[in-house]
Amino acid sequence: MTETRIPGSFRDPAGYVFAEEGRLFRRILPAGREDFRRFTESGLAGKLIEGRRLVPFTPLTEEKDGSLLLRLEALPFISYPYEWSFSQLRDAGLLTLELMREALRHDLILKDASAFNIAFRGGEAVFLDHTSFTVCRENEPWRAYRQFVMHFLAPLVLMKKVDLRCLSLFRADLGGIPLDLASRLLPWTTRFNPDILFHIHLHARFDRRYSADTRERKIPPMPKKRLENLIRSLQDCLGGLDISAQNTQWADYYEHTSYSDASFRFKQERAEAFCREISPRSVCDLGANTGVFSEIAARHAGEVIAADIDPQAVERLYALSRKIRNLHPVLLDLNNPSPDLGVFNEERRSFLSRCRCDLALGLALVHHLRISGNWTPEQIARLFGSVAPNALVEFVPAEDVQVKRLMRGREQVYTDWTLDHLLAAFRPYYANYEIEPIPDSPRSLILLRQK
Amino acid sequence: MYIDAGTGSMLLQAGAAVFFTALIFIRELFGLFRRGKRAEKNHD
Repeated sequence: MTETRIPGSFRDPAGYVFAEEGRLFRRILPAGREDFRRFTESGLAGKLIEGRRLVPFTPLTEEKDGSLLLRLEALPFISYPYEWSFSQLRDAGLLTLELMREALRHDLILKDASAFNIAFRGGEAVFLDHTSFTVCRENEPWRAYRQFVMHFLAPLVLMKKVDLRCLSLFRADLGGIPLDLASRLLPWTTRFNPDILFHIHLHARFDRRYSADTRERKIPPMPKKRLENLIRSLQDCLGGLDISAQNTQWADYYEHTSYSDASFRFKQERAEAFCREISPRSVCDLGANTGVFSEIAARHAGEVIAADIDPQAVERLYALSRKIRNLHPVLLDLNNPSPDLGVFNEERRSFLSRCRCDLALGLALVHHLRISGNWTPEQIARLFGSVAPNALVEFVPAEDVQVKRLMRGREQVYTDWTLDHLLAAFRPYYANYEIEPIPDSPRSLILLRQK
Repeated sequence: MYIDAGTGSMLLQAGAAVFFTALIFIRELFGLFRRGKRAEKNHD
C-alpha cells in the first residue's frame, strides 16, 4: 500500500493519517505506540467511541518495526474552525475539556488541544486524533493549556465581547489567536472577569514577560486535583458564553422577505421536486440562510453542505444539524471563500476543493453576487459549474424591489443583468435548462442539468 | 503531538490553578451553606 500522508498530518511524530482508494487509515509510529497502547488498554478509547466522542477505528496490522495500522471511519465532510459558528467552536472546546477530564481519570492527559482535532458528525463534535493522549506524569502541568486558550477561549471571548467577525482572525493564524492580540482587542472592563483576567490578560502578560527568559525556571508542581479544578474553571467559563443577544444582517431574512406565501410555497415545492428528481448523494446549499431549503434537500440527499455568510444564520444551521444529522453548516463568504492554507498552502484545503456535490442550490443568492459583489454572470456560472453538475438557481431580475434597492444609483452598471445573459453564461457548464416563473413575483427558478 | 508550552504559560497555569481551586472551594462552601439554610427553612 502506498502511504501518501494527508498534507495536514505531518507534525506528529507519533503517527499520521493517509488515504487510499477513498478509505482512511492512521499509521501509529513506534514513537507513539506505547501511548496508544495505554490509551486503548485503559479502556478510554472504547469509552469515548461508545459515547460518540471519538472517531471509531479498527486495528489492522502490526509491522515488524512496531508501527500499527488503523482503519478509520471517514467523515462525510470536514469543516475548519474558522468556518464554524460560535456554538460549534464552544462545543468543540467543551469536548476537548471533557476528554481531558476523562483522560485524567484514566491517568492520561491530552498532549495538544488543537481545534483542528475536532470535526462535526451528525451535529455533534467528535475528536479525530487518536495519538493525542499520553501518560499523565505526577505534578506535571497541562502543556496544551496555552494552545487551548488560543484555539478556543480567546476567539470565543472576542466573538462574545468584541464582534462575531473576530473568528476570521483564526484564518489569519492557524496556530490560534495570539494572546497578546486577544488581550489588546478585548474591552478594558473584561479585566474584572476572573476567568478572562487569568486565562487571557495575565496569560498574555506572563507569556510576554518570560518569552525571552533564558534562565532555567522551576515550574511549580501541579497536583492532579488542582489541574482538574483548572479544567473545571475553563468548562464553566466556556459553558457560560453565548451570543443569543447579538443581531446580524441575515439571521431573520425570511421574516422580512418580499415573497408572498404562494411564491414561497412554490419555491419549496419546486426545490423538493428537483431534489427528488436528481436524487443526489450530496447537495451544496450556497447562501443557505437558516436552512429552509437545506432541510428540504436533506430529505432526498445523502449529505447537505449548508453555507452562509451570516454568523447567526450559521448558528441556526448548527441547531438544525442536531435534528437533521446529514446537514453540515459552514460559515462562508463566497466573495472570499476559505483558501488553501498552512505549510505549502496544503495543510487546510480550500472550501471549493472540499465542496464537490451532485447538486448546488443558489436561492435568492446570485443577484447579491452580481450587484453587491460585482461578480460577472460568467463568474456566477463558473461557481455553480465547479461545485456541481446540477443546479437550482433563483434569478431575481432588475425590476424586483430588492434588486432595485441594491442597484440604486448604479442601474447603468448592471445592464447585463438579464435572464438571457445569465443562461448564456451557464451554457458551457450545463446541458439543458428549464425556466419556471415564480407566481406573484418577477423572479424565476432556473433548473440546470448535467451534460 | 507535544507542543511548546512556554515558561510564562506554565507559571501562569500554576497560579491560575491555585486561584480557581480556592474559588471552587469557596463556591462549594457557599453552596453548602445555602443548602443548609434552605433545609433549615423547610424544616421550620
